[in-house]
Amino acid sequence: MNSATIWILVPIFVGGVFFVLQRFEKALVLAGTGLVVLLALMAWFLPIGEALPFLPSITIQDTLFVLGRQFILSDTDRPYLFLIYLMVAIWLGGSAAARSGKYLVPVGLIVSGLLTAALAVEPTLYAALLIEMAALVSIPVLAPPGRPASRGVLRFITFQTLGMPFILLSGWLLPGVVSDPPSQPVMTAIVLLLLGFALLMAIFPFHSWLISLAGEVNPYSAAFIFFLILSTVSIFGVDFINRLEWLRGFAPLYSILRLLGILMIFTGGLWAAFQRHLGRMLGYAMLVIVGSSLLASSLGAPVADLGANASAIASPATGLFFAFFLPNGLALATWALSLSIFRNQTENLTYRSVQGLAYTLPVASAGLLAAHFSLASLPLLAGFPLYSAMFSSLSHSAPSAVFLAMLGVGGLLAGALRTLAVLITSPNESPAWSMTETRLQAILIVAAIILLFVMGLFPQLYLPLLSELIP
Amino acid sequence: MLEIDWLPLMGVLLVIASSFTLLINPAWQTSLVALSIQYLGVFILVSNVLPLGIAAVKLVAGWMAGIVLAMSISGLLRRVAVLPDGSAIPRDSLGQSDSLAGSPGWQTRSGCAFRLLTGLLVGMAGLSLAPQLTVWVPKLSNEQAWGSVILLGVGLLQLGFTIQPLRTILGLLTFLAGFEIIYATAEPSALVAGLLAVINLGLALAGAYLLMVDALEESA
Repeated sequence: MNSATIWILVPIFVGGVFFVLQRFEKALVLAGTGLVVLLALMAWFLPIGEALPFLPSITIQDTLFVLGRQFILSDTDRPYLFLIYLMVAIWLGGSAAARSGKYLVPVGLIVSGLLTAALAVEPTLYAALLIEMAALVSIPVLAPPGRPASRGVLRFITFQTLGMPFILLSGWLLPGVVSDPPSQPVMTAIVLLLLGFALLMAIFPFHSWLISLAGEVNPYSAAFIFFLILSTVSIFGVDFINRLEWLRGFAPLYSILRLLGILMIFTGGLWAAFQRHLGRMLGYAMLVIVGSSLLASSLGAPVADLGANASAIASPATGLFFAFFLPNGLALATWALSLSIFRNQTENLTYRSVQGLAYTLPVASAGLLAAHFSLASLPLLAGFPLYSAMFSSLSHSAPSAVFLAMLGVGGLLAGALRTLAVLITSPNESPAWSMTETRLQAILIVAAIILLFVMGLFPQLYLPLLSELIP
Repeated sequence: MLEIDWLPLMGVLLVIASSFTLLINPAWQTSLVALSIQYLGVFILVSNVLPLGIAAVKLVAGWMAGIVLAMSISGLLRRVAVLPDGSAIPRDSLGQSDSLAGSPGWQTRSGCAFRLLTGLLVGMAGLSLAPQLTVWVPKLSNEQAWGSVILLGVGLLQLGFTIQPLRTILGLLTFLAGFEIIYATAEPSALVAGLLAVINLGLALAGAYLLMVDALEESA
């Protein structure tokens, strides 16, 4: 048995089979969610490269050879696998409630397999090809049949396809060892690398596709594909930096990441504060999530930046980067699910259309607001402990950056307050309360709200686990 | 006496002619023929750095991408040529519609002239940058550098001119073809060639799907 077979080939194969069985939509949601939960549990419990505790005759091998290259998923990758498949399980579990179409489960499984392959492939630069494949496979989810293809989908394919060559070329150009200061070809390779990641992750100024996508297509599908690709590309990026020792100790790279992170949080939050379309508001929140990921990864800067030994890495701060995944993923899924419920009942997601919806969709409105407030770092919710830890870490090295980042988060908070005001302001003088969500939708959203509060009130339950993901 | 290797030069000429045809010509049939000629040029340019079998993979994948797009468009034209009320639309007018031709203004003479001029500008800028590319990628010959920068530049230009699925996919395929020439000299691996071929086909399939998506049966 082989780890790549279990966590790469099985989801891709099952996803392919599910494409044929689309008519059994509800059964596919159950089976698909069950499979990814099983894969997450296997990643948690089964050791790789050692005999299985209950079946000593069986060992899961860590390497699969394909055309002279390797796909390696070793024991140290198990936390990544657990995290990725846990998040996919959360999203697939909510897909029936979000009515996001019959393609989400099969595509979700294939995309998860391809993105896991991207993390496993050796040499690592081939990952860019697999990420591009995952983006192409996700098209049917973003452009469901029966409606014309939106501009956002075309921009999504364009930016993902343009990003791939930059990463491939930079991976080829970047040497294992460099002189200090780095030569011009090395600096060119670093610029190409940053451009590649900026195109893939919707980093400023290449973020237009994300806003366009969030505003035009089903919010649940858009958020799912975006979050899955963002998570994998971020892990791939951190892994890429960690593999090249000189790059890991290259202080200017962290300064650039910090600058981009702050810029994205600030601009995303600022635009969110003035936005009047809930889908696009979700897009701006996603920009803030990308910004916070960049900012958290910049906190793993060489300690030389703080005046100590250049080769040491501030691991606890880098751990924060991984700690963001689960709370942000849960908040985004809750927000997107609530928006999908809104979208099924209104013409569009402009403020004018959703005015007073809290009276007919109270649970979805509560879910949307809880998720929005959590991403805006409101105390008691899941985002707060992480943002406060990040700002506290950052305040030692760049206090002015903290101010700008807090302004951005404040903008997101202002957007949440405006949305609250719109949702509870009914056009009727005496609106009647009713609950039009289905039972499944209500149960999922209430569970998510409770989880957001539990994660905010008891961060010590899960943060040590996530922050230990750093290799 | 100076010996000139005519084959790579022919590859460059094919690439220039086909990419400019893709940029200027609004007819989808001509564009798809130009796409297949473009891949012939790419094949000639990479055949001296890659084993013939792997170079042929690029040619076959490119041609298959063209066939996928052609089949999708002809299927689309068959579907929409007859309206639900039984009346028929002339096929020529459908084939020249904005969704296949590019964007509003794509078919006008002034639009063609403008695209030709900008293409020439980008081409000249690319040719002046080509020697620098051979410094970064030492195994790259001058002809390969010329061919690749022309394709990269014209591909990006096409992407900038349109918001329609067919032209966007053709622009992306052109851009990727330019990149493939550079990367073939840098990393002549079978797996990379295979994955890039899959991506070319995937782009064509995505384009075919996006062209037909509104005519397909609505999901649940």
